[in-house]
Amino acid sequence: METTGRMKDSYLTTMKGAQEYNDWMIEFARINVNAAFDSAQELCGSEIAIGKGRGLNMRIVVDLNRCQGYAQCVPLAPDVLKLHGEEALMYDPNPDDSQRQRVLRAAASCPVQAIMVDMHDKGVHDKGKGTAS
Amino acid sequence: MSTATLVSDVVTSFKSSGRIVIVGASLAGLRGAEALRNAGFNGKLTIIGDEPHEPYDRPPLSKQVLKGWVPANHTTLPRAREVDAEWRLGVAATGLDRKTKTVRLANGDEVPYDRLLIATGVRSRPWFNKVEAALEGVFTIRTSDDAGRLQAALAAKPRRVLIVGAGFIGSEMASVCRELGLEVTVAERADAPLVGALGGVIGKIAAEMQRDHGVDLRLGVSVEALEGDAAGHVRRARLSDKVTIDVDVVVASLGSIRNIEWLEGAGLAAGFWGVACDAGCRAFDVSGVVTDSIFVAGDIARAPHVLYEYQFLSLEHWDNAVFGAAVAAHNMVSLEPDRRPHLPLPAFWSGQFGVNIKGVGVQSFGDEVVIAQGSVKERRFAAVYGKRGRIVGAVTFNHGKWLQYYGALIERSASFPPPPPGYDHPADMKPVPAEFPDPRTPTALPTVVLTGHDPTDRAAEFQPRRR
Repeated sequence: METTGRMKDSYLTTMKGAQEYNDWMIEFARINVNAAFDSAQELCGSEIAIGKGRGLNMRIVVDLNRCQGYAQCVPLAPDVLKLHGEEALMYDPNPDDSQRQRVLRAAASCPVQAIMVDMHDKGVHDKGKGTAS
Repeated sequence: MSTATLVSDVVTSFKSSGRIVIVGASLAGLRGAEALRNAGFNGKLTIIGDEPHEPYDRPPLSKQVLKGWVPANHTTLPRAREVDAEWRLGVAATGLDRKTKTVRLANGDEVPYDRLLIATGVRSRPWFNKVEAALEGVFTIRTSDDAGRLQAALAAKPRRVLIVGAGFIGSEMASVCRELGLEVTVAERADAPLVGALGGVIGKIAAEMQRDHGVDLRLGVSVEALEGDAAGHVRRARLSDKVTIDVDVVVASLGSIRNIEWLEGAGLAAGFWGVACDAGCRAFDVSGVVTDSIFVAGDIARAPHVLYEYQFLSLEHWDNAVFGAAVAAHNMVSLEPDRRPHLPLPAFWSGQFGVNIKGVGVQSFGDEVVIAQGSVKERRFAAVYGKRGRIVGAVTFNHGKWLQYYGALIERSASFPPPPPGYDHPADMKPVPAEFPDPRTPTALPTVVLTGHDPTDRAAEFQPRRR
């Protein structure tokens, strides 16, 4: 009984951590959605250009533990996100710049927000000197 | 000035001008750095990595990259925020001095720290014979450079590929070879693929999947020798059942080795299964005393887990690196009342032969398994592992949407077998022995292992009472 009590306590604390992680993911979701709106504006010819002309590939990562295989993202960016079999998602982690709008829409569409897009694609720019050794 | 104010001043000043060194520049190192900045650490941050590349994601290497869809150097990880760190890439850490609080580098530099995060992870276990390992066409896979070389070898249309070891990565590579139309032999010492991770019952299903897709799967055999041609390229493999097969590419997929060598002499509880730490990611020393300034995250960390009898759990899972690094970073800049535990419910995924395999919990902790939902024949099902009447793990084949449900049952140690589902009953719902191999059987090491209660495999020195 004592063990169960302890387990419960520990798990409650862990859940708190998980909640904070979820908040973090929701923040990503918010930014993803904003980015998608931004890119829509860009398509309409407004001034907002996210990472435009950097000549770099995008960077994404999909949390495949979180991914449930709803595949909402696949038709939105079919050259970047594909299904392997019925349920397993396969994706290009560093797709070409020309895929940017599609990928941002795909990330925004994910019901469990499993697609994380680089901060550069959310309008945040690294002030640091990058990765020079 | 009260003690509380003093302590709070120390924390404030550490956050603004302390020095944190992260050794390891992969997933855990990067996410740890981001979490430190998120937690308000504005001091000097140094990230040391032996590979010359900026942090990249490894799971795609054995799948998208080998298939030739994604170039090997195109798995760079996205950044969640700027980290404003000094990156020391392409130079390995070679030593740790806890007295002077410095990390020694391969080029002779010494990097001082106030707090250290150990995230050096694992490397692939090399082929056991050095001469044979040096043959052209013999590979292991862990880094993007490895994957690039192996992908080029597969693209050159070898007559036959031999994969030694049928763990998750070996099986994924076999799947890719078949998709590329290549002949592939998989040699596994145990009597089923994935047996160390999922046991023999599920392993048999994995074996059928491989054979249905045209893999030449050879079980219960080991590869005794590799032979090369005059040009030093591997051409033949000799198996323990006296069979010789002609091969052009050999991939040793034998599990991993923890990168602990650089910690030798530092007095930390580092051993075969990694560096022992408490549930708050603080490293133990060899005597089992917890350190104040050294934290551990990712594949190299092992910590006692409440759900598994407080045995030290060693986990090579992707999200263990993400969550563990975040907790370690938080605790590095927090005082005791605010510290958090990292008690992950282990979770993994693997895509192979068109089937999405996902798991939660520690399957190998169980001794019984039951097919709880779906159809094995159609290769869409959920299997649940139990021990002494409690659910301890679950795995799904193309049934991933149900995994969270079983994860919740594991979290509250629900009774085993689970209640029958309202629909989609499997033909047989009787628990059977899970058939995990004797841990002494040499087979590929699973990526989640309960490693007992000892913080280290080095003996602590017993200090008798002074008289």
